Amino acid sequence: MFIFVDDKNPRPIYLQIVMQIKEQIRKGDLKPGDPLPSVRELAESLQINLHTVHRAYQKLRDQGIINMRLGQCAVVAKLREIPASHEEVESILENRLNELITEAFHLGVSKEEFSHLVDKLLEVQDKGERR
Amino acid sequence: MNRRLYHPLWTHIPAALISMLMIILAAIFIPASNAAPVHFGLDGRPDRYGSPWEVAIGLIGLSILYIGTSVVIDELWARQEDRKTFNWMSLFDEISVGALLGFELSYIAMLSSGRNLLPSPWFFAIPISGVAAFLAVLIEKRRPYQPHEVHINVEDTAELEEEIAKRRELDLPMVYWESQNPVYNTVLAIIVSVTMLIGGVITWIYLPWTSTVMFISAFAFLVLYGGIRVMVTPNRLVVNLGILGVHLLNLDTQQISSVQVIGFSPLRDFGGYGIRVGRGMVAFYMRGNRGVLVTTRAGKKFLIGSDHPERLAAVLKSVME
Repeated sequence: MFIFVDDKNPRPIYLQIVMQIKEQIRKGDLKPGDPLPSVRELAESLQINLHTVHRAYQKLRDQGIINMRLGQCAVVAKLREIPASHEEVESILENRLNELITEAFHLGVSKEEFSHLVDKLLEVQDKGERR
Repeated sequence: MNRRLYHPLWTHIPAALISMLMIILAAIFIPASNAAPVHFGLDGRPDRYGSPWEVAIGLIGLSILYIGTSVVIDELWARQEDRKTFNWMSLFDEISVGALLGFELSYIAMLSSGRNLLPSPWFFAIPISGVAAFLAVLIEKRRPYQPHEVHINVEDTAELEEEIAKRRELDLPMVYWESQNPVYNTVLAIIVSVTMLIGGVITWIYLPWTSTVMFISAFAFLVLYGGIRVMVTPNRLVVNLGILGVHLLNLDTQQISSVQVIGFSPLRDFGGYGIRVGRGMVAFYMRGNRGVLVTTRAGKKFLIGSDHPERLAAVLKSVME
């Protein structure tokens, strides 16, 4: 597992950790059952607060991405077998996509450019998964 | 998991025959009594009485346990072989079961003589174990090598290297983390430590020294819980062990002069798993047969077992630069 934190990134550090762990699961670098470092180990290695790592792990646990039991290390949970309900997709993905579309608008990115960028990223990820 | 056996089971026949002989001798010579000595001090005098079948079942049970353990070890050895090598561990069951037969004969001799003094068990154990070991050597020499395909999954680390290079340029705090904590380690850590703890409590009144050893063993096994964990940050390479996070290795990355992905045979090269010293290096691994050999500027060598050695080596190389 490879994690880094960027102080200059406007996204809070705990969310940076959450997204990196999620991404590594998507890429297959982390598999269901793989253990994660303890909160203390990760906090010491990254020189960040224990609570920040704890918050990241709690968030991942609440989303069903990892399992945490008292006295045991956190492990990657089984991947979701049933796709999320329409309501869930709407509440999570649509909201975020709306934010991104708004951001793109303010950056002067056209709809076509935005759509092209999404297609390009999906293609890159597809290639990565096939590899 | 390949279910085919690469180490033939017939190599365990001498040990199995000795174990059967122990059962036959027990059936013929061990009486059904409740007042025979069953435990002895170092001087051979009894310090506890009970049914002699307690001793017989204990010795036979141990012999079966040793043969079972040997079957597993020999199979592991065979799976790690890339050519025929002499498996000195295959002598384990013959020597140990031979010694157990010697102990049983000594006990039977004591019961038959009617005296409550155990004759030296080594009188029987050493020659029997010696003959059994000789037989085992002959068998091991005749054991055929069964070639098998060893599939090595070499990972492409280009993407990871690129990502690390980007982060290193920006001097961002980062950590690479991996662990080896196989199921057998968790089982050992929990079952053995709990058993030792209970045994220690039970024997505390009668055998305080034995009890103390059991408590220390319980603690030693409990420490293993959590396995081996490797962490690499831009400044340090740390290898931690178990629940307490004992530092097995804590190296400044600037002290590393080279890293190299290597293959090894845990049993043949180091005689087992865990923390090992041999072949001019200190090794840390709980499973697998691949790892990263780290050499320091002072010439010290450390082998870190890894499930992803290419990734670990790529990260170490990047932080060394």
